[in-house]
Amino acid sequence: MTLTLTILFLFLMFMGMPVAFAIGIAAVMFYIFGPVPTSIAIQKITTVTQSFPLLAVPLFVFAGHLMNESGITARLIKLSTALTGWMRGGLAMVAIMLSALMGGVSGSAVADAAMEARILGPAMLKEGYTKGYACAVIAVGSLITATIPPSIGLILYGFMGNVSIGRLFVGGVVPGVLMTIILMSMAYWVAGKRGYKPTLNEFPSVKTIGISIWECKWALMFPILLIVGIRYGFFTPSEAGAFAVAYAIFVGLFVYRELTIENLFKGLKQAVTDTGMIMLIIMFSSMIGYMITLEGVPQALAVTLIGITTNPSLLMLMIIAFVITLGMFLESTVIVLLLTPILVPVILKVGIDPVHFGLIMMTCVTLGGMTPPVGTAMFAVCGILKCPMDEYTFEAVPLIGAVIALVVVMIVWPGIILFLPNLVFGPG
Amino acid sequence: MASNRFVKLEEHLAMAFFAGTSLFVLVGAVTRTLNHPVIWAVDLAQLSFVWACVLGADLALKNNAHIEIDIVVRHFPPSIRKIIAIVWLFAISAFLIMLIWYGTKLSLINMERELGDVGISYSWVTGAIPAGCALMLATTLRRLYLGLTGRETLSLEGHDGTVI
Repeated sequence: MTLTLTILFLFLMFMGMPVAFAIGIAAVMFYIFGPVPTSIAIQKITTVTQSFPLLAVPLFVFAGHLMNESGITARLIKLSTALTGWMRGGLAMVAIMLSALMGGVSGSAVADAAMEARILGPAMLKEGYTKGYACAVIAVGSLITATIPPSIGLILYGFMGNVSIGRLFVGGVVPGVLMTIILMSMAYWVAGKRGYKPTLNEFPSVKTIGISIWECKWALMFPILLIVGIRYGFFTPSEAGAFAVAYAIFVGLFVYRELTIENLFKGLKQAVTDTGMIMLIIMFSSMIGYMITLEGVPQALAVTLIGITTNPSLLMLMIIAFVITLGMFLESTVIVLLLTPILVPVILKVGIDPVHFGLIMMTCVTLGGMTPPVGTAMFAVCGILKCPMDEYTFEAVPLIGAVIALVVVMIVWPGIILFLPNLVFGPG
Repeated sequence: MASNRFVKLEEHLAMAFFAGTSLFVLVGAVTRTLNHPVIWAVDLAQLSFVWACVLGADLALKNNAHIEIDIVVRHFPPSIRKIIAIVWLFAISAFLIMLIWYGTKLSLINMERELGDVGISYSWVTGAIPAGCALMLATTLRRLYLGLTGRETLSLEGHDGTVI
């Protein structure tokens, strides 16, 4: 039955039905025609809304909107310029650095990409960057934002796969930094080839950098507070979300004094719509969990996959190739919600660490938002800068290739991801 | 479309519930850290969350913010897209009617059950689902009506998620 319903779901979705309803209608068929009473479906939908860990998602979404309005972004741009603007290809460097710094306060790649496209995009075009390259650097760079904690994608993965969100957060630090280094090296190389100039004429004085860092202390401190708070049990990840909201409001209203009541309500309104959108998918896909357990889908898949190979790295490469392909056509949230409950039991069986797998999987799923033909971050950036998709694709392929190369290294060498969470939380 | 007073009210309610969720979670965390846990804060957070979700889902529906994938359908001529859109709106209506039916039944069963330590009926939680579905049904039927009477163009367009 799972197979029939998967086909029904894919048909509805590719025929343009809103994804939430495509999931809901396909899933409810199991309760109408399957062995369980139909009334269970509604219980599943209700129960999932009453899960406390899930509250982390809307709260971090709200916090992200607020951080953008609180004046934190403007200061981080200044700091990124001071840190990297003197390098060759300055603006591309600034964009990547900004994604990394935003990573510590925001958990959403798409929000970061849209913000950078609006603020840095026009300046890049004025400097003579091709449209495709400007869009590619901003869109692929935003992957860093989604990797450095907090990360909404990792919260969703942790929630669906029953994996410690604290560990996942800490696990994102090193991959995020490595991505920053790799993408900056790529940008440096491209700038050399094409003669993209630095934005600053000379290396800024230590004093200038120092002042910029000091102005950004509230943003730079946040990810540290977050991890310390979760590690020492001051708050659970959901409570950390509420803390993030309060923090952004406090900084915006009383420290930088740039957050107006009007903007506060604007952020709240956006958060409500975003939450409604994600939660409807989560609520309807909650009906699936029961079905796949009852039909033993993860076990069947595990048997098939283990039949092919028992080498964890090889198995992970296979799964990841599948996820990346799927990511080209499907939206990230949908992939995480549908695949996590199926894949996590499989990788546990082969002895892969779920934190290691989660970081790899979320990197690839989020990367799906930057790959054509369907990609949320890509659409956001190309929409704002009016860039045709083929120009984007041409320029994005090398950057995406670099990220995939990094992913392969992280698959083969789990220690890169795992040593930090093991250090902070003790071996898991 | 989103102009009348009712939509404004729905929007304000959704925002209030969302703000309530944030506030109650924070209160729960702070009081627990100070060793004076307020137990009902968590229950209220979850109660306001379910209402924020269903109202937000309907608002997202009104603003066309739900994810749709148009990679295939954008190659279809407008007439075909209109027909598919009408069929989908009917299918969604039928699905929502079913959820309203079972959701109402569940809420009636849950009248006696209490929500945590708050002392109100658990039906306030379960009732949110049929209530939200009823709102979405109204939105869907309205769009169907406006589309069929030619006052609004029915089509399928891609809408991409905005969060991860």
